[in-house]
Amino acid sequence: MTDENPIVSEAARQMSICNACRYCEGYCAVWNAIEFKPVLDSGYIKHLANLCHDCRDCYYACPYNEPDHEFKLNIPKAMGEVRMETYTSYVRPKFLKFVIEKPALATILASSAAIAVAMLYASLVFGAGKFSTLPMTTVIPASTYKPITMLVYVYTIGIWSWEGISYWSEINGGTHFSGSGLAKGAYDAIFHTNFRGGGTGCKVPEERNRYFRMSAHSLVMFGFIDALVSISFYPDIFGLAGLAYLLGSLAVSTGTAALIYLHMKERVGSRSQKQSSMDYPFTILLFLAGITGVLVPISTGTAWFNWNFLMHDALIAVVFLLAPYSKFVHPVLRIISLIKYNSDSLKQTI
Amino acid sequence: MGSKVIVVGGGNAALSSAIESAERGNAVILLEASPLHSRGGNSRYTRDIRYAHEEDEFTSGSYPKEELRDDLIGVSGSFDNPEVAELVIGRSQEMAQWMHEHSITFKKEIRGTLNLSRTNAFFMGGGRVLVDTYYKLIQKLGVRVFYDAPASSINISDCRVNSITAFLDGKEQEISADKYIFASGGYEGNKEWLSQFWGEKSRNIKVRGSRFNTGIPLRSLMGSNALMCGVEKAGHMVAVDSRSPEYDAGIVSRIDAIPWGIVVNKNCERFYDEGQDIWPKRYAIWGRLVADQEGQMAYVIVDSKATGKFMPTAYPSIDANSIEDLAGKIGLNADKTARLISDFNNGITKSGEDAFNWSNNGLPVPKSHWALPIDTPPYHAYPLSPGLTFTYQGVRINKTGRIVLKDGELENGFAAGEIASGNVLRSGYLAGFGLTIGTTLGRLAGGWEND
Repeated sequence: MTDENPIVSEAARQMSICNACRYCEGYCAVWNAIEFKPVLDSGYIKHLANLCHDCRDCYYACPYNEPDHEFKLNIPKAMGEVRMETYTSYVRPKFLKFVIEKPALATILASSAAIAVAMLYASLVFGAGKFSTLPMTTVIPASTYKPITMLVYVYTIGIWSWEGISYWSEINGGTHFSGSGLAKGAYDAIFHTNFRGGGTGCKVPEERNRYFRMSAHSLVMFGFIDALVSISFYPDIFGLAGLAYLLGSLAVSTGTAALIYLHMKERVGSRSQKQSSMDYPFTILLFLAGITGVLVPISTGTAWFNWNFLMHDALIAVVFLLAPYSKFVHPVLRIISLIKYNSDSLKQTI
Repeated sequence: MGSKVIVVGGGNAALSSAIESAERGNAVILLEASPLHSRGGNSRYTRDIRYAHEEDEFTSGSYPKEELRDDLIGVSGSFDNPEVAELVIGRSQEMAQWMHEHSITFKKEIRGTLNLSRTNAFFMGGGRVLVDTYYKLIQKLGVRVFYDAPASSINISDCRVNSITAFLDGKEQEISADKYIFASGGYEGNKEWLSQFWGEKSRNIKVRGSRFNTGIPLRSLMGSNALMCGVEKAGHMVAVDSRSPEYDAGIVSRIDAIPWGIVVNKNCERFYDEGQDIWPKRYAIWGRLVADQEGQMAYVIVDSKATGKFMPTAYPSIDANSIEDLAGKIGLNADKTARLISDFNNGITKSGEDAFNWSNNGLPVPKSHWALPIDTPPYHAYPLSPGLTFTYQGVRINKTGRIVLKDGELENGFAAGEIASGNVLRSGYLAGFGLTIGTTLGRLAGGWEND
């Protein structure tokens, strides 16, 4: 409770009330994890915040919510704000913090710059008129494509790891990474365990129990992974790999559209403005990347194939370049917290 | 064809009766005294039900009727109305299944309260989810719900309810129906009523549940010669954190630390054996004990060894590295407190490893179990106040759920829930049984009796 950060100490105040209540036990990992600690320190609050998947079941179960109750609880909002805090404070290198703090601006600038560079490349190197008639492999030869993508992946994974290790070193609280904790954490992430409200579903949208959000997030996640794998076959992207890429892109665009719809439907204020301002730009960016991805096979043989393909690549590059400085850090912190949670759970049962 | 039914109240008993009644084709109006955001009365703060059952999917083992009856008599002493008590015990058996069929999800496993996992079933999300689920359901069933609609009086003559007066849409109106179900709770939220028993002290009593449980319908029934059940003055009262709000703190304000430390009043005196082994009553006696102290205040003091041994508290402990500093922080005389604790520590007899058998019987007020020396800083204190959960006194009903008057029975007036809990529990409490009384009597009043 001694954290000087007012966002974290406010969350600690709220979560201490939760720990005395525990009625939400069963909804998700947060309510099991809170029971491991009689007193919640700031590192643990950050850990809980990243275990929270924002399903809002606890909000709709809480008799102590703001503004009507004196306890003034709003757990999804408090958790969301701490999550934002962790996203910013574990930015590495630290001087790039300003990027994550201005998500809309960063996304717009980076996307515009990337698209401009791509268009300039097309016009200056090949000539705007001639560009659309060239074969794809002339525009982007596989020998260039592969090292560039590799470089981008190495960059993203490198910075992600740096950030993840910084996060882990603050929140681990003496927990050791255990093999089965890791396996269970990965399982929870892949199978969306914490999107299920303990079997009752998430209460968004519109306070009905359902699996809308879980489905939307799964589409984005699996679509993204599928697209990532299938594009590695470049330039051979028209057969089976092409179909996989189309499906992946389709999943990403539908999933992100559904998530945007969910955000827009939310009216009760269980999210902070800051959270939305980080979620929207990234989700929209992914949506556009997804749509341009869908257009890749559709536009095959047309005059705008090359333009779309180039723009798509530019957007994907932005997704990866911004990943450590955007909403896209969330999988890193979340997986680390899932692993810690599962490692702690195993200790508890011994 | 269905008749017109008015349900007074908006908690679990009222909702159960409204569901039962509407499902039987009646036109039901439900009057909830609170605004929408705090609907549900004390049911908002519940989380489990205790019911007789064979092995089932909601609990970890069977709990025969006989055992439930023994447990009830164990806490309450005897039944004020054995006929109704037996009915509640018997019909509790169908309850979990009924709730399950009405969209309530029970937890698969519970972590924190293992000692109840056999006897009680815990539902997901707790009372607010229960209440919200039922409100959604009754709206689907066509029940008309009015909020901010407290009933102010009941017009009774010749063993019939003729009408009630209630606030509807901001105006006091007289309305009538074929049948009336009173499920409006006890009077624990009515400080003026409480002051009849507690005098000035009532100001310092925290009401753990709804401020809308003012007992106005109960008082009106009393005025119409209804027979009473349950101990008059008594209420279920536990020790809660003094910093909690005056109403509606629910479960989170309770302080479980008492057995692990010592409790002192403002004059630095201990006044009761903190280690008395009378679980589950232990929990319930401390409210009354604290209410008898000056300013209705006391402090529980533990040391760092106790951390993690009791349920976490909603408010942080008051901490210090010496007893003197701690006394200063909570406004006690430092020397007296230090002397008290050193006397306490010095006379402890430890038999074996289990602290349950550690005691200090040499003091004017002994501590008979868990007498852990308070000697390892940091020291922690929690300020205590009495916290009233519910009141026992209510109206007597018969086995059809009808209210019994001194000179007969109300032909069309029923009672369910806390307002009738005295028929089953005259005092004491068993975790999870309030909802059982509410659900069974609510369904009975709603028309279950016709089966």
